[in-house]
Formats: sequence, structure tokens, C-alpha cells
Amino acid sequence: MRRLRVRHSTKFSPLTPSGLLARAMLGVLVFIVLHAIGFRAYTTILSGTSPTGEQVAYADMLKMVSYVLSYLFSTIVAPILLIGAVLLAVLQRKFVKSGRSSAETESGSESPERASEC
Amino acid sequence: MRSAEVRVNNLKRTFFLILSLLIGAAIWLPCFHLLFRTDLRSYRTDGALPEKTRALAARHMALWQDTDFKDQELGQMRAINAEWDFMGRTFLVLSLANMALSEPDKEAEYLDVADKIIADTLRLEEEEGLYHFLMAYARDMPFVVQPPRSLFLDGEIALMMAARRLVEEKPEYKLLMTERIDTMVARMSESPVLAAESYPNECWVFCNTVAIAVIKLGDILDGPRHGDFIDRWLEITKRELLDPGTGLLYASYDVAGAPLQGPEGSSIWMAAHCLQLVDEEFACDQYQRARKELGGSFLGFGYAREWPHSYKGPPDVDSGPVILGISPASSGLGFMGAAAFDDTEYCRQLLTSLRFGGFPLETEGRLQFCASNQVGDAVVLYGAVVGPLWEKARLLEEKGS
Repeated sequence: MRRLRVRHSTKFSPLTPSGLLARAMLGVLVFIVLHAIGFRAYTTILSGTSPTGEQVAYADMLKMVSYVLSYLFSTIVAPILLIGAVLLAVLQRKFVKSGRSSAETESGSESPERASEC
Repeated sequence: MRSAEVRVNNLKRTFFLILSLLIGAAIWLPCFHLLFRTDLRSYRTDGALPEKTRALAARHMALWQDTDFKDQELGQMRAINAEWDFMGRTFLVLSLANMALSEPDKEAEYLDVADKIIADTLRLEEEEGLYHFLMAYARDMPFVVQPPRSLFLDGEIALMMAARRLVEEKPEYKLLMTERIDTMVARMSESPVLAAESYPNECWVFCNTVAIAVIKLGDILDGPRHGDFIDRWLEITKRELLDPGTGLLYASYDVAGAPLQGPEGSSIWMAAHCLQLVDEEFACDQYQRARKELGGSFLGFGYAREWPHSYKGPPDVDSGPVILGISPASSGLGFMGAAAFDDTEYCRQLLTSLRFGGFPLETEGRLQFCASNQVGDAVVLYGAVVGPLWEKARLLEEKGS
């Protein structure tokens, strides 16, 4: 179990291409879900208009903010993370010694070898 | 030794991560606008309406066919600014008139909605009075020229009627429009700069250029009566009401002609468009200056500033929230201006911004821009269809002369 946990945290460290990829995909997934359940309509609050015609509630504001943030993340940040992931994979393959990941050490997790020893 | 190697590797990884993200940003940001860039023809064509524009119009048409829907939409806008309710009507009627000229087979349908809007507006003005469509501060002091009237209302109501009559004559509007034009001319003539008040001792260039356009339309429709007045207005306006720094028209001035506010994006685009009817050269000059002083683009996204760099006015309900000098109101009207002056590239850039930041939402064949409201959407619709109405006015003028 522990070995699995360690491997998981290593794979998705922010210093790894797969970590960047995972974050980009997660952000886009959140956006797709929010869009699918109709949160886009809450952006009418930006112009002072309630999507329901009723007084704008705190929950409506939260929906609007979460939609706008996930939208900005998906359209601006996620593609940068995706491109960054590809570039990082190339750079690391070329210039960083393969084998044990130093990222995992930095993030406080143990190496797979060490974990297997435990 | 091992620890040093790990540290070097970590440093390398961090460095490569930052480098990768920076290169990623350098690659993505210039391409980002392509996600939202659209063929201008999906919104704006000569002839039949494109699908998007039809969907945008459908929502406005539905608004005027469903009283609850209308009351909800307009009521929310009125809670912020009663003027928006009124201006939304004007831009929608102008749009419908252009649409009727573009699609003669749907003329009756469009004119029916336009007539509903005009009738409802006249009824409200009569029942609720002058202040119904004005902001509350209109009551703070008396109008300089008595009895109190607002050129904002007179000009746009007359413009709605003129637009409708340009498409197809409606005899009952003829007298109403002529009376309003005579009233406007009389009140403008009391000012040394031939400007009438929209609010007490506030003459707005937006309203005064709408007024001069509708005076011209009155001449085209009902015979030339105000040629000298229009010539004098143009001469005085060019001499007295231009900001010396930019050459743009002041946004507002008092009845004596003293400037109150410098050039503003939320006024100048419409002013230039209205001037197209009376002095094409002056109109083009104002548009080009506005484009230079206020228009811009960043990474493929178009925007319009509210004020030129040389002048910083107070943000108000017209400008909306101004961020880094950029105003959504100015940008929306800038789209209309760019369309009216066939500035295709700027039009496309502004449309790209609108598709990114306007949060378009299409449901059941009806399109709205969520970050906008009814008046904002009506301005965009007008930008999408603008052209045939002014063109018809020019043709009628040529025929008449």
C-alpha cells in the first residue's frame, strides 16, 4: 500500500511532465463539469443581472466565480501546462540524469527502492 | 556526494520546469485568441442574417413577445440604470430596421416588434413622465431651457420613428416625429453651440449627434427644412466642441458650450456613426481619431479605452468598470463603430474579445452574451446588422436632391 502511495505522489509531482499534464486535465475536467451543469448562465452576474430573475444569492456568486476561474484556467493556463509538459519531458530526457527522481526526494516522498525496503 | 547530485538534479528540474512553462506561455499566448476568433461573416454579412446574428436577434424578439421575460430583463437593468432600458429600445429598433431592409421577406415581423417598442416607449413617457428613463440626478436641479425636456429622450424616440419610417412609412409617426424635431431644433437654437440638454445643464455629444442625425432623416423623409441649421451646427461643433489635444468631440458640455467632460469612448463611437448622415468626412475623421486614441488590440484581442491617454475622466455608469483604461461599454460601442465604418480587422478583434469575455450562451436558438445585458446585446446586434438603414437614407437623399 505504502509503495503505491509513494509511486503515486512521485508521478504527479508538479516537477514532472505527468504532474503538469494531470493538473491541466483536472482543471479542464472541472470546467467541463461546471459548464455541463449550467454554471455559465451565472456569469450574467458580471453585468449585475441575476440568471434567475431573483435576488443574487451568495451561492450564485460562488457559482459565477468558480465558473469564471475554471474557464480562465482551461483557456489560458491549461494549454500552457500542456505545452510545458511536452517541453519538460524532452528537456528532462536530454539533460537530467535518469533513474531516481530527485523531485520525489524534494517533495518529501521516498524513492520506490527505499519504499520497497520498508 | 549523492545528496549534491540530487540537489543539482532538483535545481535542473526546477529550472527546466520554469523554462518549459515560459516557453509554453510564449507559444500559447499569441495563439490563444485563435480559440475565440471567428469568421466575421458568422455575425455580419450583406443580405440575409447569419445564424449567430439571427440567434442574437431571436432573444430580443422573444423579449418583446413575452411580457414576464421583458419585465424581468428590463427591470433588472432599470434597477442599475433607467437609461439602459431606454437605450436598449433604441438600439433594438435600429437593429430591426436594418434587419427588415436586409431581409424584406421578414420585414413585417421585424416592424411589428419595432412598433411594439415605440408604442410602449411613448406610453411610458406619457404615463410616467420625463424622468422615467433618466437617472435620478436629473431631478437635482432645473433644466436651463424651460420647459424641461431631455434631448436624450426626444432624439432617440424620433430616431426610432425615423428608422421605422425609412423602412416603411407609418403615417401616425410622421406628425409625432416632426413635432419632436421642431422641439429639438428650437431648444438647440437657444444654445450658442446649438446643443440641447439631456440632463440639467448637461449637453451630451451622444444625444446631440443622435439629434442632428434624426433632424437630417426628417429632412430626407419629409422634405428639406433644416439644411441651414445642420450646416451651422457642423460649423459651430467643429469650431467649439473639439478637444484640442485629440481633435475628438467632447463627451459633454454645458448649454453655453463650456466642456464638462473630455472625449469618451462610450460616446464617440455612436457620435461618429450619427455624423455619417450629415458629414461623412467629419464622421470618418472622428472615427479615425477615436480608433487611434481609444482603439487597440493585445494578443489578437481588440479593446477600446474609455478615455484617450491625454484625458482621464471619472468612471460612471456609462463607462462601466474601467480596467487599465479599457471599458466594456466603449468596446461594445467600438464594435458598432468599426462595423459602421467597415473597419473589418478591428471589428474581428473586438468580436474575438466578445466571444472570450462576453460568455456567449446559446439556448433554444437564442444567443445572449452573459457578461453583457439587454442594452449591451442590443448594441452588439446593431453592430452586426448596421449599414442598410443609413444606406437607404443616402439613396433617398440622392433621389430627393
